[in-house]
Amino acid sequence: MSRAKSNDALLQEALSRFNEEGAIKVLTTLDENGAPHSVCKGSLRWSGELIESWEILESSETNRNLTRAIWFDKPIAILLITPDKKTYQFSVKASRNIVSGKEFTRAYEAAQERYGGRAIAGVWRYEIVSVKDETPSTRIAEEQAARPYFVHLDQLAKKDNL
Amino acid sequence: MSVQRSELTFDEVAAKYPDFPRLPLLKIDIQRRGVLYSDAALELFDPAVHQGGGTHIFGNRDGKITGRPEGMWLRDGTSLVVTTAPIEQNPYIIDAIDGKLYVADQGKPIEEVFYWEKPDYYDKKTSGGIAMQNVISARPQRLSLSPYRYCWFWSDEGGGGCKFCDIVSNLKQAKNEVAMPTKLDLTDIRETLNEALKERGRYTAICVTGGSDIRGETPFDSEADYYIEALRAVGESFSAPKIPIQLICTAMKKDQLQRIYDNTPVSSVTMDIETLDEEQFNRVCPGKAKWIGYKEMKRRLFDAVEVFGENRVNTGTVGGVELAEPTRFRSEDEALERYLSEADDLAAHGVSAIHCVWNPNQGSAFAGRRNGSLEYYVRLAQGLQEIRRRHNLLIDFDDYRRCGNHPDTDLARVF
Ligand code: SF4
Repeated sequence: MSRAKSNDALLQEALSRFNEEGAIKVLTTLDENGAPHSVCKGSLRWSGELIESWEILESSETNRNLTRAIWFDKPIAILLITPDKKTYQFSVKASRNIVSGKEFTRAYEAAQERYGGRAIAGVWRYEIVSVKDETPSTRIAEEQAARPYFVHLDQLAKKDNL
Repeated sequence: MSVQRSELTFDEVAAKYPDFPRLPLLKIDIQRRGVLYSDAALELFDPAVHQGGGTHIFGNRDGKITGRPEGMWLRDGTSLVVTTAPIEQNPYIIDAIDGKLYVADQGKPIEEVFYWEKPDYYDKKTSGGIAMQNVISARPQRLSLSPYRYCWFWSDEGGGGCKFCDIVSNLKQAKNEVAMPTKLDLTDIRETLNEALKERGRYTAICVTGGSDIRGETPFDSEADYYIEALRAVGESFSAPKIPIQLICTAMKKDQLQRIYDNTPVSSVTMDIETLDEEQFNRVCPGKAKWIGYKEMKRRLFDAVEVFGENRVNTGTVGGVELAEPTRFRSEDEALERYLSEADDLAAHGVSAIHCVWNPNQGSAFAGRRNGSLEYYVRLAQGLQEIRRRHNLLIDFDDYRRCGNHPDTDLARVF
């Protein structure tokens, strides 16, 4: 968690920006050998209660990795970049894969609307473990305050000497 | 002498096989032991929302065919196609805590589960007055159609039905309790299917199966004929020439299979060998042994690959029935070694072997016998999936979504 804000305040802030028009969301999962695999996942959204996404392809690497994640309790990351470049990284766990039933039907119909009739294979739900503020300006300020040794000397030198 | 079995508990098996996913492991154990619904769990069952037990060609361990929830999901989307079992058989308990459904053991909740939801067509009737749910039953993502429910291996000239099978007693019960017809009317099939397809996104496949029919000019011609009729009726609802239909039929000859393939929209075939050892096959499936024979069954499976193509043919086995006494296997290890080497030979010819977990159902000749240990089923599921991987065989037509009853094909989800 970011040291600048309390966990809860940061989480609320990040979630409040989750569904913003133009936000970029990247989902990173681990493959069979532990190698990370990232995709831009436009369907990721905060429902007001949980984060969920649609999976279009049954055989996609992400779908297989998410299945491994729910089977073997593997970590998953979601990177959220808002249009004004605020950046948040969520650490999440796969909590449910919905493949049939009324909740699935609703998502299926919404996806068809959005993707011109294309079907989806399932809806994944995620439990939030933690969130970090990864906005570059925030991270720079944090490092300057907490780790003063991590600096190049020319940055501290009198301007006249340069 | 009884078969030597693994005695490991659930936790011990989970610790010994860390690469085996825990949710499918739980599924196997639930299928192995059966379930019993607590009163609290049944209170959460809403017949307007959830899917009640339908009639299927095979029955349950407690002999009840309706009046219970049909099945459940685990949170990863794994289907629990379960049998209900009486308390003396040590089933898992499906219980409710704070309005949520759990599978419990020894009084402890283990995992949240969810009742399957009822298909929209289930409460409707055909113009002939038959309840649509008795024409085509559903799993969460598949439609199941049994156009003909009698198996002629149980007739006088049949040679004997399979010993684990309760198709005839189950049919008798379904006739008495819900007026189930032996043979379905094609109009009922068409009407039910069209109604089912109105529910968008729900179904991904159709499974067509029934009893074996030895009649005809050559044995099983009559079975091929009625499958062609029924499959063509199914095809009328679709615009594509081939659709994801799995036909589970008797091991027919190549010309019969070709006739079915050429004249219907079917795209995959399953011909169940039931057990992967000739001696046990002869003992467990005397009708199939008399009319086809073990070696000939294998040959016909290989022929089926030529007709249907690669990744379109498999054979079902009743996992654990090889341990039903009397058996020549002295231990689970011995049975497994034989089983997997036969599965490997089938795979080398393009045929996948799959298994379900054998339940000694009340209406079968094997009622009351013991199925395999949990460790046995773990090794079986893992072994079958590894064989498929080694031979580059896909099992998409019979996987967790298109079927949901085979622990080994559940594992294919991540490959
Ligand atoms: S072939 Fe065997 S398992 Fe299938 S219905 Fe007939 S007796 Fe039962």
